Amino acid sequence: MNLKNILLHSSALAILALGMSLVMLTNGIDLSVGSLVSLVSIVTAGLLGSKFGVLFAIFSGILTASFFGIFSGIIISRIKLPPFIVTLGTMVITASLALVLCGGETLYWEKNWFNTIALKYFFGVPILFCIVSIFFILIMLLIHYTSFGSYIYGIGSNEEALRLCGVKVKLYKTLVYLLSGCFASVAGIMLTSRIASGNPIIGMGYEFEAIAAAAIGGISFIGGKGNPAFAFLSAVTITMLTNGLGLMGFTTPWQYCGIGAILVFGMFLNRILAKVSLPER
Amino acid sequence: MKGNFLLELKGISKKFGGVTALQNVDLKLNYNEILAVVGDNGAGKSTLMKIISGAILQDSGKIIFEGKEVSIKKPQDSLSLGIQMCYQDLALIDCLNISNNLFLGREISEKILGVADILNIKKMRDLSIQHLKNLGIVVGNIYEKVRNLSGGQRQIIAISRTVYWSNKLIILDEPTAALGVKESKKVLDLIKTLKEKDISIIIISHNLQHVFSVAERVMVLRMGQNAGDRVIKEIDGDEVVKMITGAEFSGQELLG
Repeated sequence: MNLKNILLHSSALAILALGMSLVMLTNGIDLSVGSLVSLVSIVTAGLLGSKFGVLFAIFSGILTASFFGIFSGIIISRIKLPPFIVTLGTMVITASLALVLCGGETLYWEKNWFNTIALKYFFGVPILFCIVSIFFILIMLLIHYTSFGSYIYGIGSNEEALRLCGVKVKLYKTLVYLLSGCFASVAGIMLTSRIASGNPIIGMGYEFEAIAAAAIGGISFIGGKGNPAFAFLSAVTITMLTNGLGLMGFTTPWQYCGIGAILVFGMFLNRILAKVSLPER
Repeated sequence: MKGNFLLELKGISKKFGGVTALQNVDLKLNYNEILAVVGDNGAGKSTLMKIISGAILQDSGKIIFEGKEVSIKKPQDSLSLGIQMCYQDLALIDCLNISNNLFLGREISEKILGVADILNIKKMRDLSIQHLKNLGIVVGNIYEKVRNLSGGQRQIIAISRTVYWSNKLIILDEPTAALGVKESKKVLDLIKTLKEKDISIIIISHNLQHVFSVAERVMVLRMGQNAGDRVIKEIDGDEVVKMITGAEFSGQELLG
């Protein structure tokens, strides 16, 4: 029973970790994913309360996050500002937009099939986790079997060399932030369905958890190294950890403390394992 | 043939901040010719070549390719004209394997389900192995990451990529800098075979011995300006050194 719970709870973090690892592979970082989750939750919930229908609400949520993803991406790639600063800006903008749009209140809507998405299981596996797994497979294909995949590593490793080969570096860099934004919207929609309401602070802390998952999963902070599959796995592991701490009676603030500790310890372990298994030539 | 020259540069100037890197530099390259560009450090050789390849943009001056004036603003422009450059330090991507690096920017992919372009990894691998074999280059594993190769191996891979995609003009920036004697000879032989394929080559080198063994014409730059342009057969190393240094030293003093 608890395993199902862990998979359900890790879905949002797992997909955010996938997006974050792509961004980090290009030697970037996306701090805005957490507040994008909140904003998408508010936009989707707000529209679910209107007469436009569920699909329109979902679509608008995805569009909103994609817009901010492209916005960050274009500024980072064209104006060449540091990703940390740009996405910090987007993070604050989207976080406050979420609060402004809902007026600081939790949004509810008349119950419909959107609420049941998070409650359904497919052969015992939560539907949400199935959706995330599909994204996982697509990302693995993207990374290993498309030219975009090699360019993601190339941008992180030697952007100028890639540009001199005639690759449209700016376009691909923007696409990576777009993907990260898209994934944030998927996470936001899944969470909204799970809690059956639109919450302006639901995404708080998710950017930190996603970065932690990617880092523990071995994605290098200077880009070009690592495999998103491990980020995905460590997202599930982090959820397991918080879940375990919860069962042991620790409250949410203590769980954050635990993630912080595991981040530092995990990085330390990574370093040791790298020395043992892969001696640098 | 279109135009008298394959490539003609007229009055190229470039400043980096307050530093004048190139001032009114001209260059002419015949069809099917090997031209050596020599000069001291900071003479502007690499800058000039990067302008031709579109890595940087000139402040003023014209580029005429096959008799037509062209504007080269980004690397894609020069690549589509048929100009391929091998950069000294910015050639390869460390975290990708040899095969990926050889096909960087020109991956072979196939449409699957009508939408997704999926890489044909096997075909790229086979072509890479074939190509390296033709050039007589031995690599253990085509999937080895470039990061793990030695300096000389990396350079050979970078040159072989340039050669693989060579079309009308290739530019080699210090092709023999990190290479041993045997490998240098291999590269010089390679340059000679390229000439037989009707390709023009510009080679930048500090090594005058190598310049004299392959080039037909030598162009000297000094402090960002033209300092001489001579046919190799009519000149000796001493004179080239004098042109490079501005005759501050005699060649005998430098060459020992």
